Amino acid sequence: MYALVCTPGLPTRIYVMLSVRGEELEGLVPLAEWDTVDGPLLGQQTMVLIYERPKGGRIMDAIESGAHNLNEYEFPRRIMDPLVRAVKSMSSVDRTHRAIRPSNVFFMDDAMQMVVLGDCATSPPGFDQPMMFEPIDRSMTSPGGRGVGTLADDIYALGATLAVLMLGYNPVGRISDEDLLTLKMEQGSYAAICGNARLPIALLEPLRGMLTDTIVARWGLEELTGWLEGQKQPSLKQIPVVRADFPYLFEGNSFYSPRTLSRYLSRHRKTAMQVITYDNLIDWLRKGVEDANRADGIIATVKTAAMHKDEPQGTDEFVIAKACMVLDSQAPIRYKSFTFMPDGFAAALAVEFLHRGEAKIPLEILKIGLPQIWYSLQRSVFDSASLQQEEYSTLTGYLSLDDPGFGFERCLYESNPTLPCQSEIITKDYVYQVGDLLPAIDAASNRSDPKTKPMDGHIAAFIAARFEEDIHPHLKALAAPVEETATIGMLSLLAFLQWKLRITALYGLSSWVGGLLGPAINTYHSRTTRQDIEKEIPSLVRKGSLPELFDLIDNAENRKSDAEGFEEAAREYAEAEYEVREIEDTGSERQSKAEKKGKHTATVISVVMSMIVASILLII
Amino acid sequence: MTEPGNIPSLPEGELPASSGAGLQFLIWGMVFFGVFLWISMPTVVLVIFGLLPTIVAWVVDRSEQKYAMWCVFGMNFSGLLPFLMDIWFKDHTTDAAIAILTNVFDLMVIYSAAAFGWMLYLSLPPVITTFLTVISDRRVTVPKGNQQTILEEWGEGMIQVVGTLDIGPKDEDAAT
Repeated sequence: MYALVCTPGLPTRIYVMLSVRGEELEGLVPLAEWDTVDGPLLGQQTMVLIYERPKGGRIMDAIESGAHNLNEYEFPRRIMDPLVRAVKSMSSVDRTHRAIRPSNVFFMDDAMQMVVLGDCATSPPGFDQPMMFEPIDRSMTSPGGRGVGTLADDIYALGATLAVLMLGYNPVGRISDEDLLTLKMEQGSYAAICGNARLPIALLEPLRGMLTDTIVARWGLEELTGWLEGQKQPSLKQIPVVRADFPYLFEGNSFYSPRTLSRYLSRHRKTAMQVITYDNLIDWLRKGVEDANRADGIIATVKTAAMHKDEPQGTDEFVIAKACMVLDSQAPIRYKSFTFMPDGFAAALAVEFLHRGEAKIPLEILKIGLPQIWYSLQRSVFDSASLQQEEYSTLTGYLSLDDPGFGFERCLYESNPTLPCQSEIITKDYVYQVGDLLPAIDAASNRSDPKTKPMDGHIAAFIAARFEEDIHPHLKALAAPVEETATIGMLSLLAFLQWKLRITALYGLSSWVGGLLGPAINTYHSRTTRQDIEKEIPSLVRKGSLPELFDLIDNAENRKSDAEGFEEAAREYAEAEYEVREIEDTGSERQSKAEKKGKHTATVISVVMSMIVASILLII
Repeated sequence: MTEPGNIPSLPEGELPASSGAGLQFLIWGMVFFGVFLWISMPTVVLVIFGLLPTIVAWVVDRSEQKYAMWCVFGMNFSGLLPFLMDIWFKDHTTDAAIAILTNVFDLMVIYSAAAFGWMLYLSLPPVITTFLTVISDRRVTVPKGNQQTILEEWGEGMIQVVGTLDIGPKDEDAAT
């Protein structure tokens, strides 16, 4: 056995692991187990895959050391056949390998008889593939954006691998990746890779079949199996590479195909607009390439951009990206420095975020709808196109909302169903399943600032993407602008998770949340109720029960009686206020009334006294 | 139409009713005054000069009820009555009346009594006001105490909620 420790900064292919674990698939190194373990060197948890050890080592090492020599007659049976079976095995579990290259081919046994394909699940599809082993379109992307691909892409890689294994060396090893790509685009992949190599004549036919750039014409498993069994295969349709009668000259380069020009423009964006807006390009496309559709496409792109001058669709970067798609519709989406195949957006987004800590460009791409434009420019419809377009629409929808549980984070976790949660609170715990989330936050409570919340955009989006229950009411409360409501929303979401997933006591998390409930408790009007709740919290924290904590904080009956009590108290207060005002009356009125009464009294006293005096005088 | 600035004249033979009544009152007053003067000249002289503070209070007090006049009159009359009785029952002559009026001590008694009446008029209302204020303050203690208890239990937020309710008269002085 041997273990492969994954780089935490790369998304892994857990679905592939699930498909191949414990299975005895022909031609593949058996995957015994996989899980997350503590990686002391990395200082965090990471994914580890345990494979059965291929005892014979790498086949390339054996060839280079001379320990293994094969002639052209043994090659199909001993090397090609097991590798075709490996591709077939992957295809049988509805997965692509996307890591077929000479350095990933092993001898399973000491006797070097059993050839197998190595790991393909520790990094995104095609991530570690040298450009030579990727079809033209996928080799133009960044490593993270090469896409899941199809069986055809595995067969292409197999073709290039077989060529190297047969020769015992890389026939294009001395050519730079960029030059190789140009050669592939101008001459075709087969000619570029095998053109100058001394390959056995018998192998030329399958290699040509596997390395043809036209997907529909490329050999499939049926043709390969048939060829290995000695059946004659129908002759390959030769589809010529689009080539102009005369070159398009720009910056000292001569471009004979729209594809090479497109590639150049996407890599020289500063000067690309000079070409796109120049009439010479239109003339060249009409007369040299003889493709009026492409010329019209470029004109339409420029005109549309002029109409959206102050919008993202009017920027030079957008025009360049769209024009490059028009020139080469099969090429990946290339916007600014971000390139990806439409089926590789998820991994590209994850890699971009994990490496840079942000993903502005991919999100910009979603907002301006470049993938939709790419699909609209495709001349042939492929199986998963509509499904992929739907996924893009869903992601754009998520991106349009900024609330917790949506936005960029939701796009990240929805498009990468096995990406671990990237919240700073638990990023070291490699939490990729929702069931592990609360225990991880619980463990993180000891090392986190108790004044911060155990919930952020990543955790909310991770729950929203991975938890199957409807949590919209919780997310709505969490997004409330009022702090108290947001705190209750956070508690309700965490409590719901603990309750639904039947997670045992979470002492640390309960204590953490309990310390943040001040604002939520203050939503009760009654001081007595607040005091009662505050007294009750410590006992519930000791139980580690978030649902009970939530029930205490947001009990419907308590809320109702508090609201009713408040209403009643308000009425009593108002009545008392009315009474006070009535007694006090208005100040001036009371003054004048008292003054009047005083004057009246003085008059009465005066008159009465005069009458008494008069009476006394008369009597005397 | 009446031109601006021209005051329309009253029709001939039509006089305001008030001026007629005033004239009538003046005539009757003069008649009674003449009769009194003829019957008791000393009394009239003594009353006119002795009740001068009352007459002043009558002029000064613009109120409808004329509390100041009545207040001053009561005490003024009390001070004057002994001298009137001297005139009526001892020496009923104008000289005796003038003698009283020219005697500083007699005048002091009459006018001091009037001054006491004025003092009564001035000092009693504030006393009554203070007394009534004390009574209302005592009455307001209970509801205010209840309000304090409510605030302690339900918080200061209660005031804002109650502020939105229509709860009757508002003390503008307190508000300002």
